[in-house]
Amino acid sequence: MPSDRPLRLAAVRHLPFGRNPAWPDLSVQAEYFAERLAGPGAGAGAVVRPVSGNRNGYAWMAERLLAALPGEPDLVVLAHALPDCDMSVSLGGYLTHAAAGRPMVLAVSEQGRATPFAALRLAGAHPREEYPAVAVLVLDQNTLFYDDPALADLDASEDHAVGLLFTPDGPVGFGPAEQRTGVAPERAAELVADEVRALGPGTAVLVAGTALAPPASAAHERRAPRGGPCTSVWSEFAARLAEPVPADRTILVAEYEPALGYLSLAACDVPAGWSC
Amino acid sequence: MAERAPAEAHRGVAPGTALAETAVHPGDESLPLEKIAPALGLTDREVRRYRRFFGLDAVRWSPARDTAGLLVAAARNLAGLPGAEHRVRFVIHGRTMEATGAYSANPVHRAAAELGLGHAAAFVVSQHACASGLLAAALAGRLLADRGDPDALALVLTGEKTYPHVTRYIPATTVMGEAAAATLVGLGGERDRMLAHATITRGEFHQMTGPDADTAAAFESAYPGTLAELMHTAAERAGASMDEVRLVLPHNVNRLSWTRTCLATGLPLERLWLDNVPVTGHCFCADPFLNLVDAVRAGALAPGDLYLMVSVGLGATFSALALRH
Repeated sequence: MPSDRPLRLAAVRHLPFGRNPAWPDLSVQAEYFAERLAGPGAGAGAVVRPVSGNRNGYAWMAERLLAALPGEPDLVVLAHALPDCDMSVSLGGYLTHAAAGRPMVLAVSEQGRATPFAALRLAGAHPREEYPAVAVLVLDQNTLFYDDPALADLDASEDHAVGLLFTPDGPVGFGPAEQRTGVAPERAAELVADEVRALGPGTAVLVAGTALAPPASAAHERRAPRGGPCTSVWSEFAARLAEPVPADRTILVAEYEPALGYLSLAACDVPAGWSC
Repeated sequence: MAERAPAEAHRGVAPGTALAETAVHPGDESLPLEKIAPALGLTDREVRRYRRFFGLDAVRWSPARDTAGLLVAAARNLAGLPGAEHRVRFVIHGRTMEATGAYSANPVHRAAAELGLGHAAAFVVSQHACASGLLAAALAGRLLADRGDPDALALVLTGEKTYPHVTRYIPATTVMGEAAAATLVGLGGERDRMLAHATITRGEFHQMTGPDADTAAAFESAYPGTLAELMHTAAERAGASMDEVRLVLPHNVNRLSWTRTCLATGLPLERLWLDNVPVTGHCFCADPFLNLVDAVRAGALAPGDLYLMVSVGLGATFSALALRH
């Protein structure tokens, strides 16, 4: 399937995480968040409470996700909206040390459900001659030290990590990731419908986030499961690519962050017979 | 994990990237060490040690401002921002400590909205710790170049709040300050052109809480040599040697670490801008940007001068930008 998209996707992996068998002591982190939530501008309505969750820190999750991806990335872009629960290690330093190939590691955060798309934009902005293989690791851990009304529907039963590996010869043309700001919820659905129409009839599949109203025109829509703000739409994307498609297919991933009014989009061209 | 060699240095700036303007919020209150010693739990002897050996004297705090307030205060001092808001496509906060509060706090978005930049894509960059500001500046150029709009700008923000538990001081190292900086990054500017970005991550020093004495000693031992290697690499990637570097704009952790680095490299101490060490304390990712503003104001950089902005983040990432004034 010819594709002139800027990134080439070689693999996608989705790992769910239950209770961390190492069960780290997080008392220092509890003090850290108690302190931050006591300050001005720390988040309206958030209330400190005893820690709950599976205690999976991002270093723990990302190391396992990297090991599940084939190849050695030169650049790792982490994307998370929920805070790390285990700050006993530097996530960036730990991964650089642990990962084969000693990649450059950086993290993007504070864009809610749109955060992975910001990470994909950064991945696409790095020239391939400098960073031939790039991994974008999307992370959601639900171990929190406070209640926040904005996270009221968070599924705390499992944590999730989705990794996307881009290489120069990846078979799936991907991107560019796009972000539109100042988008009202009702307008977001219209814009997504326009994008689906622009991809042409018949072959496009829409993987839509839970915060998007269903576009009327999307015949092949896959609704992301509820769960982590960053990984839900990308775990559904990974599921779509887990089995070979019978014919060339374009997948449009669309997510909406209602708190910020950000609509994010990324499309890819999957050749017939390919699966991750 | 098995012992490994240090990571390779990475290059990377988009051609044409330039710092169009940098402005600072210097902190609202100057507090001498004696005044904050009770809050930090420092004894009189430790205060004398911080002053005599580390070159620290006072710190700038902004107790009435939250994180967003610090960033807005710095950006309000940008002469080139009013009237150019529509050109700003990205607002990037380079942050040492990723979590500033609850999930919904979103200080970078509150700052962007207050500055009339709600249309820009805003996010946080981290995991280079106190070197994340330099990373943010380099990434801003990457994003602008990828966008292909020569008139577009990115606003890079640095500066964070201190908290009593972990981030008011680093024992036997530094005292943290609450000054902030705002930098407009563009493509094609004539002044402060970015020539190279180099980083070295010594991931073997990733332990943040309670590293053992041997690891702490190993980091102290590795520090000057790694920093020297980094600065040489950055200069080399800029097509120059360290002899051609007019000025180094460092982090403001303390004077002693820079004295040791100069001894290890042969770099004359007078080529480092250390004036802010006793004034601001270590202001997270903002230090090199604070020093840029003061150095330019003092006439320490002439047009055409090559200079380095240098910082080190715990974890441990050593980072340098090479620029031409």
